[in-house]
Amino acid sequence: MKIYIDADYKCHVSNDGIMRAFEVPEFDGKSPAFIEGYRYIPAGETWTNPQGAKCSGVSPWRDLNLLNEFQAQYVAQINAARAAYTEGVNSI
Amino acid sequence: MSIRGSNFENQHPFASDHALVWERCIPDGLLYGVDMSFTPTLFTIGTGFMLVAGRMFEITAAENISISPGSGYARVYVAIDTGGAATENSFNQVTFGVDYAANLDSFAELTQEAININQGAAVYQAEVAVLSIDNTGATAIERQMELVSPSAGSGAFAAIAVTYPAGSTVTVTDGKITYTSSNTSGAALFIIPYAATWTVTATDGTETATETIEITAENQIVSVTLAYSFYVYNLGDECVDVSGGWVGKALGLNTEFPTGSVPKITKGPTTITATGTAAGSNTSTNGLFYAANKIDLTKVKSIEVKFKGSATAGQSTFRILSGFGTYMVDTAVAGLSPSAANTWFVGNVDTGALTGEFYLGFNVLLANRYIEMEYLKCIC
Repeated sequence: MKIYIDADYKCHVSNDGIMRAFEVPEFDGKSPAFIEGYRYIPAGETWTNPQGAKCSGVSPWRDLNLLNEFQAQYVAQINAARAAYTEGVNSI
Repeated sequence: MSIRGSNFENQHPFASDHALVWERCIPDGLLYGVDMSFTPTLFTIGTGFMLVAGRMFEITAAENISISPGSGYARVYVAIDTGGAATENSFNQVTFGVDYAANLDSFAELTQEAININQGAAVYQAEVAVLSIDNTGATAIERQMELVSPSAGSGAFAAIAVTYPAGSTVTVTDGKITYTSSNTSGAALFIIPYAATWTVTATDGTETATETIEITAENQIVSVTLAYSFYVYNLGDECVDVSGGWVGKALGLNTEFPTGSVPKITKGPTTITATGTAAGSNTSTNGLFYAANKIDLTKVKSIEVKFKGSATAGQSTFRILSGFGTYMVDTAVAGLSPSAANTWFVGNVDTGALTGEFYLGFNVLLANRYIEMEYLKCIC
């Protein structure tokens, strides 16, 4: 999944023109709202959390339960769309 | 309009205005000095500053109060009489007195009029000390006025209850006032005198844990649990009490590497290594090397891990899993890859947004790929 990160390393699914793009497999199949609740700090770079730890990698900055709810709704919408499509095809 | 300005431009502030604020905020007590001592017939109040009913005064020469012999108790009190003389050259509004009672709780009620209202004459008395007496005179000080503490009496505004590792010391500070726990039992209650941002810190001399608390409302009570950093693996120590031991599990990574294969674990004196295995010629395998126990990350702000692996992104990766799904990526909520292959790497993963229990581990992709770990530390 191609994502973009801002100056605070927060992830976005679209580029405002000054963001950096990365391919992050961890976000494959994830909803935009889920992705945008994460930070991605590329290898070799660090982001300092409020406690002073220099962090890297992939980690959520929004509440994980909320992100999981976003993802569950996203999956339900996709499944509903697929079911409707299948029903449409079968009716032809 | 009938309003009197006090601390306003061109308005006259009375001493009682100033004292009223102090009276409402600070309990009666000693401000500085005022050592107390006694002989059988004399009670001595040393020089220093006192604050009574918001009125501050200095004792510039020791006060000696005669104590009569008898049976029971003598109470020394200070009396403020705002009807007394108070001129540029003389001051006679503060005096000390003594009265007697058979029991500690049978003294006559002290006069405590509102001396800071209406600028009129009024009397306010406060107990300075109580001595036990016998037929020779004073024998002991039973109780005495304390140094003023903002946390005492009317200074209470809110409270912070702290649970911390036993054996540690806890402090609570807003940068102006610092309170320290009176013991190291593992639980402490701090009375907070006003709204502010308070920092609660526990330390055992080596480890430190801290939390920031916003006190915004009167009678607010906040509970804080402080915990120190802890290891899940450290230099040959599997930290079994926490980790439950480090084990392998067959778990596919994703649809590209769907086949699970249990990694081989080698325990060295200071490191632990997991090596990927594959059934036959299967080239799409993945294994999980992890702490058997789920770890509660609610208080963990970040995880620091030192490891190296045979590959970088996605192939020898530290992962935090919410549970076990069909594939590892189904439940991976955070992760960290080394920046270079076959090179020791120390990294931190921010876990500030994670609450509840999670598995901590690494994925080892394909046969003969490996990860080797030196330590994994949860930082609270």
